[in-house]
Amino acid sequence: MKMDTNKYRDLFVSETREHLVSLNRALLSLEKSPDDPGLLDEIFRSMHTIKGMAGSIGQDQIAELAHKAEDLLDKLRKRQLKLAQPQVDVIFEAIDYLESAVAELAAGRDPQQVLKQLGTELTKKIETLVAAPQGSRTEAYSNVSGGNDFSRINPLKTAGSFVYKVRVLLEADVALKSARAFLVMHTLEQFGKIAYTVPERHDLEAEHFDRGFSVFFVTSLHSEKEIKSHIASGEIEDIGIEEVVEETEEELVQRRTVSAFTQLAQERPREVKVSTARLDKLMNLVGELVVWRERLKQLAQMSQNSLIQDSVDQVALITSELQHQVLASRLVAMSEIFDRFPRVVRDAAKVLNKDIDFRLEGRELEMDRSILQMLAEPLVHLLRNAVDHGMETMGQREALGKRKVGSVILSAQKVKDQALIVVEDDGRGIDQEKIKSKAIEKGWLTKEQASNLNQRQIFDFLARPGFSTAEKVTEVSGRGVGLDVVKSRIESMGGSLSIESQAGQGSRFLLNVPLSLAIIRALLVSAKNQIYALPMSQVMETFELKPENVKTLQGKAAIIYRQQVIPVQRLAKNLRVISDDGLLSGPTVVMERQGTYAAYIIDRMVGQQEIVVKPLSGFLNYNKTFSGVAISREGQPMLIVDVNNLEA
Amino acid sequence: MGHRVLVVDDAIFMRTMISDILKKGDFEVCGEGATGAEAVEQYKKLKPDLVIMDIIMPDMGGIEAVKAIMQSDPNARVLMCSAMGQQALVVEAIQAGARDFVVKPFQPSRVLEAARRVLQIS
Repeated sequence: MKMDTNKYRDLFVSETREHLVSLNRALLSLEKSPDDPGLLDEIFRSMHTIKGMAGSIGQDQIAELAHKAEDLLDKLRKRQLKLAQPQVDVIFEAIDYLESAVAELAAGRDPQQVLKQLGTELTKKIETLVAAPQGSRTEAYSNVSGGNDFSRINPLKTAGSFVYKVRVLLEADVALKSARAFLVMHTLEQFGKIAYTVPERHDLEAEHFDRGFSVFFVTSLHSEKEIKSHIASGEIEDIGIEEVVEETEEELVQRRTVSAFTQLAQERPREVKVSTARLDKLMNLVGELVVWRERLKQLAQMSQNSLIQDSVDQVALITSELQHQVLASRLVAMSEIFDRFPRVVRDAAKVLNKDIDFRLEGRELEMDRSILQMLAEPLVHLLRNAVDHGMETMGQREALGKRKVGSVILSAQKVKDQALIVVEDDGRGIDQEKIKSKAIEKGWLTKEQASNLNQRQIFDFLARPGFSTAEKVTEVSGRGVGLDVVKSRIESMGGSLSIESQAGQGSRFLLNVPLSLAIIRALLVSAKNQIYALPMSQVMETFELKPENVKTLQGKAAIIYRQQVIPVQRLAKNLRVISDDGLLSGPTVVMERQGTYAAYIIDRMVGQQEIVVKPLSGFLNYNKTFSGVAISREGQPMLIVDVNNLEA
Repeated sequence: MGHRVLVVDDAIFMRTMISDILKKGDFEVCGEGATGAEAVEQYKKLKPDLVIMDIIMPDMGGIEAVKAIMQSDPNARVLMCSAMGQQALVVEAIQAGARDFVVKPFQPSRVLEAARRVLQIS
């Protein structure tokens, strides 16, 4: 599919670029310490990876070149070939070629068209070096010298002195090489000081070099021509002189990768990596900004100055957009964790010898990354449970007339500003009777109470700590079910867990989690002179309740809402601020909680606001009634009611 | 007018060969010597532009001779002749003040080129 090719090409581009950066660094280090075996291994592995990726996206020329480079590196790391300048140089050239190829790909062009000749030549060049016989004297320098050792140069520097690297290449038939080298240095020493030579002096004296050597020379002379004239001789084939300036390693890396950098600078990267810590900071700042924006709005209104009001409106607009963008930048597709799950299910199924058909739906749904991260474990728990406890064995399924292959579906969809994630299976379902008897056994219920429970309440027991209907501990799901842990995790994120099941047919575990963290739309209400925030996502409706509309059912106050009978209470009573309902009338909010509705009477509607949720810390958090706290426009703290935990 | 050269070697054969090379290169051989001592003496007498001198000689070897000549004339230009395997001696000679060296068996072009360079003529 076209989409997939682009995705893999983009992945190839960004991953290869990372490899190329580390390749450059490693190769530079290798030049300084040619005997480090770890570096060669590292370079070899990177090249190997690039080869594999290139082959996978059909970039055969890149793969071929990387393959040859890999061969060369392999021989080098196995010491079948001696490491010398030509090999290092050709690998740098290979890196440069790869950088160009990647740039072409990123621009949507095919490197195999544009870089064909370069690629072919370079590949041949690498091949020749790979095939070179052991101990070949093709190199002009017997030592690899890339970096300049300024620790030996700096002590000799004075004001007005210059540092040169003088590279001498002797004629092929020179007799008395070391004497010739000595003469060169002796001459240079008349005009300055020699910091060091490559190879070292003692090696030069012992004739441990082929034809070339370098002299690092500090002098007040500023003419390369002049220096050359002093040491030139019929016995010297070539002299190269360049001024040396101290570079930090960074500058050295930069110089080497100039081509990559200029290319990168010319293209706009489509993605950058941002640390999650930074995103969290941004988030907090925006949160604070939102609060002050609200305050400004209020003050602007009070000032009755239209100029100020206009400016504040503008600021408000921009802040909203900023908030939106920051939130969006924290969003990450669920595929980030979803894509790992097929493997989880497969492994569990294998161990338990069950055949599972696993489907993923809604992996494109985007969610705040911190919430998503917290979801991973609970979901793995639920999936493993589905396969382990939820699914019958193949034999059992057959006997029941079910398909041998069990079905497990993980789906995610957006509902208002929350995500509804469902783990569904067509297994044995949950036996309500078993739960009831277990609960009675544990002393949590009397027989009579048990018979009055609805399905939801029965299932709630499943998630109670200490409860477990697992017959035995299995390798896959361990002790018990961990459902209580899952539930508390979800709730700590401001989400909820509910269970639906049909004995013999299957189960559904429904998770509601917020998509975005920390800034929510809330309905502010006043109850008993306190302002509370109710999450808009759960507010169904508000209206003025008349006393005559209140009925009594089973001793409890109720009203009819959308053809349903739902309970109604004063919010203040629910929050235990007052002990008596008093007259049941007035502004009322109908809230949705876990699939059912409930109505709460308040004193006064204050308004709708976007609020920044701050978690309750320490001992305040023991009471699950509140999911957090926020600051109102007036700067007052207000509690955010966790509707799911209000007693009905 | 050619530059004036003093040729010093204990073997007549070598002196003749070097002289022939130098004459072809438009140099003037103004004197000859067979020992280090003769080299020092002839130098004082003739004041040549250049001395070509062998390293191994009886009655004051080349190195000592270089030292002595340099002492009498710090601007003296001496070109040493060496055989294979005499690296350490060449180094010593250079340290003593010799400007360059050529290795036997000679290549005429090398000899001339070295001579010209020591004299700083192109």
